Parts: sequence; structure tokens; C-alpha cells
Amino acid sequence: MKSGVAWIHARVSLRGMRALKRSLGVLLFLLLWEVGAYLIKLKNPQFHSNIFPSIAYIFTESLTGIATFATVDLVRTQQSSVVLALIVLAQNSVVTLTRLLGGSFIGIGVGIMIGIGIGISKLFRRLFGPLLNVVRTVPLLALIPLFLVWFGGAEIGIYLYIIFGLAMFMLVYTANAVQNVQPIYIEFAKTLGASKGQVFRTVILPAIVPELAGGTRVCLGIAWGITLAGEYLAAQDGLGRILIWSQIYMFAGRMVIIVLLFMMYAILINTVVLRLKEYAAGWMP
Amino acid sequence: MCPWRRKQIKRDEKIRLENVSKAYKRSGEEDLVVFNDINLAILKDEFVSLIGPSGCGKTTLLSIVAGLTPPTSGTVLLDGKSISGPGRERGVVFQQDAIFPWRKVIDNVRYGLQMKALEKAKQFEIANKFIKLVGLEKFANFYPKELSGGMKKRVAIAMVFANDPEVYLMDEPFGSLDYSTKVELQKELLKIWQQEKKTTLFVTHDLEEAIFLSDRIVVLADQTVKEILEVPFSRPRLDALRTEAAFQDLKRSLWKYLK
Repeated sequence: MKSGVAWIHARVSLRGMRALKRSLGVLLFLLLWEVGAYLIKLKNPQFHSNIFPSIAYIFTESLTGIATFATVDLVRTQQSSVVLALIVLAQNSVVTLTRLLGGSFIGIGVGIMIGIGIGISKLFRRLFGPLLNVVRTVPLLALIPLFLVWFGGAEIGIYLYIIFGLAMFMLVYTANAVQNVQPIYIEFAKTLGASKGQVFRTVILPAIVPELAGGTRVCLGIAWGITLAGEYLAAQDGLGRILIWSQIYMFAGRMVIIVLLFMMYAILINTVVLRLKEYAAGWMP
Repeated sequence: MCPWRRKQIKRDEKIRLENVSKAYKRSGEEDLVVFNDINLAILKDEFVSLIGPSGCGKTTLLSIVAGLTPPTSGTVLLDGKSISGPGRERGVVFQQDAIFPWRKVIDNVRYGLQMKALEKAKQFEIANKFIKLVGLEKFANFYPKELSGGMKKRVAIAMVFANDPEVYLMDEPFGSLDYSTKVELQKELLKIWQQEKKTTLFVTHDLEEAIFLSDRIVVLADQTVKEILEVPFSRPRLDALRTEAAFQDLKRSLWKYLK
């Protein structure tokens, strides 16, 4: 009995220890941040908050500073600057997330469709395979100036940029997935009387779902980079825009807030996609 | 031979192989001949096993009958008509696991019926009957990943049988199973086969299995049909048969072909 209690104690303390260790890492990071901020302050007493603000500064001055991005209409409502800042963040989050999710949705969809075409049709593969292989090698960032010339800061340009980047990635992923479908499944389906169309719908499509879900996760990861790159250079609004203006006027604290938002959204989206994958590919061994 | 005149077939003949040859081209080298001029007839409702040393082309021959591999020359006739490609009248149980991992057991078993666009209630009715027949009623809503190797084989058999083909083609279906599971499944296969009575071509390298199951055993060796043996034992066959002297004698006489 006594040993049982001791065992429970050991379990509890083990769990406590684990939680402690986990939070210790975060605490250590925050501590190092504060030390860094202090050291910068010693070296540069005038502009230290612009370069390496303390945590307290980030959540007060930097946050309210974001209110300066408010539109004229918004300023007229005469809210406090914290409320203004939060509204600005919310508005721009909506803009960026719309671009990110909308662009990803179309880009991934287009990629999957072309990828399936390449995967199942020899003619398609011969016609477009070599071209796509060459185009795929272009670094995405190298295309930004070109998209700027073509579309200026127009919304359509940012969308096309995201769609292009993700479609290029996803089509390779999809074509591979289609060609990796084990021939035995297709043969079995045929001997059970499935037509070509039925083989496609009932064997190839379900068989590639897990790989497509994996590809989608990676895609949404790189979608952040692509969306930001687009906003960074071309957009008139969005979180990327706030980020670049904060850099121009040297407000590191505002940049940190935007980065924190990115992290939050990325984790959220990743969790949702993981759940979807578990749902759609639960049959995977 | 006049192609427009329907070929004369013997009564009760289900499958006929005429001068079937298979060779694989190899660049810069001589063709790899698997077998030459195979002529073979399988009667209606007959259970025929195909045995032979490994690499003799048993699986290739079965695949040709299934329509999944084209022969280099020769034809396969089903009811006197030459086949081209796979078809639902020839159900195949493969050596590897071929059941669809993304479908539950019940949805696997009704797959063929679904492709045939049979009405849904009927699909489930037939599928449930065959799931019961292979003893998996408790696992109807399981995914294949949750099943053992023997259970997956049962699902594959149920899938093929539920689709009601005219011919069963089986390629070492029990090859990967341990002895007791294998014996168990052989008995069940015979039980179902006795109910459904279909022409069966069964590839195996297991002599005991071939004798226990078959009406006739075809030995494929040296690129040709080396021997065709009648199995004299009456049905239904019981496990005790496996240890009888006559059974062992037959097994011994087949041994020499596998070397």
C-alpha cells in the first residue's frame, strides 16, 4: 500500500517535472531576451527599444504603436490606441489569412489536378512534363520582380504568385503519389469488374489521399513564406505590409508582435490540417 | 483454322489454353523464355492446381488466364471465346495482400457488386453473407490494418466470391501464412467451393495443399506442361487424409518435379 502511494507520488512528480522542464525552456528564452534587451540598452540608450525592446515594451508601446496603421475612418471612431491596434491587427489578419487560405486552396487544387493529369496520362506527361520540370527550378523569390512588373500591387498578382508557387510544389507531389499507387490494387479492381473510370475513382483517388494530405501540410507551411513575400513587396495591406513598414521605421517590437501572430496562425492551421488528415487517412497502416 | 467459325469445344470445357507462350525481351540478349506452347483444358467446376519449381512461370500463366499479362503468342479461351484483358467473370485471389486498405471489410467485400451498380441493400446482403461464410462477421466494420494476415486473405476470398465470377484464379493465396492458419483456410476454401462449385485454377508450390484441394494437378516445368495427375481421393476430404499412405505416395511421386 505504502509503495503504491510512493509510486503515485513518483508519477505525479514525474509529470510535474516534465511540465517544469518544458516551461523552463520557455522561461529561459524569455530571460535571455530580457538580458539581451538590457545589454542593448547599455550600449544604445537612445534607440534600444527600437532595436531590441524588452518584453514589457513590446506589449505596451509596440502594441499601441500598431494603431498608427489604422485607416482614417477607423481613427475617427476615437477608440483608445490599444483597441485601435487590436482592430488593425484583426483587419490585417483577415486580409492576410484570406490571401493565404484562398491562394493555397486554389494553388493546391490546381496542383492536384495537373499532378493527377501527369500521373495518369502518358500524353499529358510527355506534353508538359519537360516544361514543368524546367519551370519548377525557378526560385520563387526570383519571380517577384516579374510579377511586380506584370501586376503592380494588384490583388490578382499576389494571388497568382501564391497559386503558382503552391501549384508547382503540389503537382510534383501529386504526380508522384499517383505513380506510387501499387499496381496490385489496380489489377485487383480490374479483375473485380471495375472500368477505367471506376479504377480512378475507387482506387487511385483514395490511395493518394494520405500523400496529398501530407503535401497539403507542407504546402501550407511554405504558403506563409510565399504570401509574406508577396505582401512584403506588392501589397497595400496585410500583416506582411505592417511588417515591412515596421522595418523601414525600425520598430522591432511591432515586428515581434506580427511574428507572434504568424506563429499562432501557423500552429492553428497545422492543427486543423492534421485533424483533417487523421479523418481522411485514418485507414493508413 | 477459320476465325469466323466458332471453335469446336468439348462439352464441359471451361478454360482452354492454346499454344500459349511467354517470353520476355531483354535488350542485347536472347529472349527469356518462360514457357512454350502450353496446351491445357480445364473442365467446368473442376479444381485444378498448378505446381512446379519456383521460377517455372506458374504465376505468369495464371496472370495470362486472368488477362493481366498478355501472352507472347497463343490464346486463352473462356467458354470457347478468346479473352482480352481482365474481366469480372474471372476472379483473382492474389499472392500479396490486394484488399483495399482504405475500405472497411464490408466495403471491400461489396466492391465488385458496387462496380456492377447493384442496388445498395442487395450489395450489403450479399457481402454480409460472404463475410459470414469466411467467419469475419465480427470484423465487418474493421479496416484491413486492424486484421491479421489470415483474416486479410479471408477478406480477399470473400471479395472474389461475393462478386460471383465463373472462374476462380488463385495465386498461392495461402503462401505467406503459417501452417495451422493455412490448413484452416484450405478446409474453409473447400467448404465454400463445395457450396459454390466453380472452376478453379490454383497456383501453389505446396504439394500437400495441391493434393488436398484438387481434382487434377498440372505440373509446369522445363517451360512446358510436364505432367497432369488425377487426384483419386473422394470429397469431402478430411484432415486425416493428409497422413494416409496413398496421400503420402502421391506427394512423393510429385516431389521429383519440383527439383
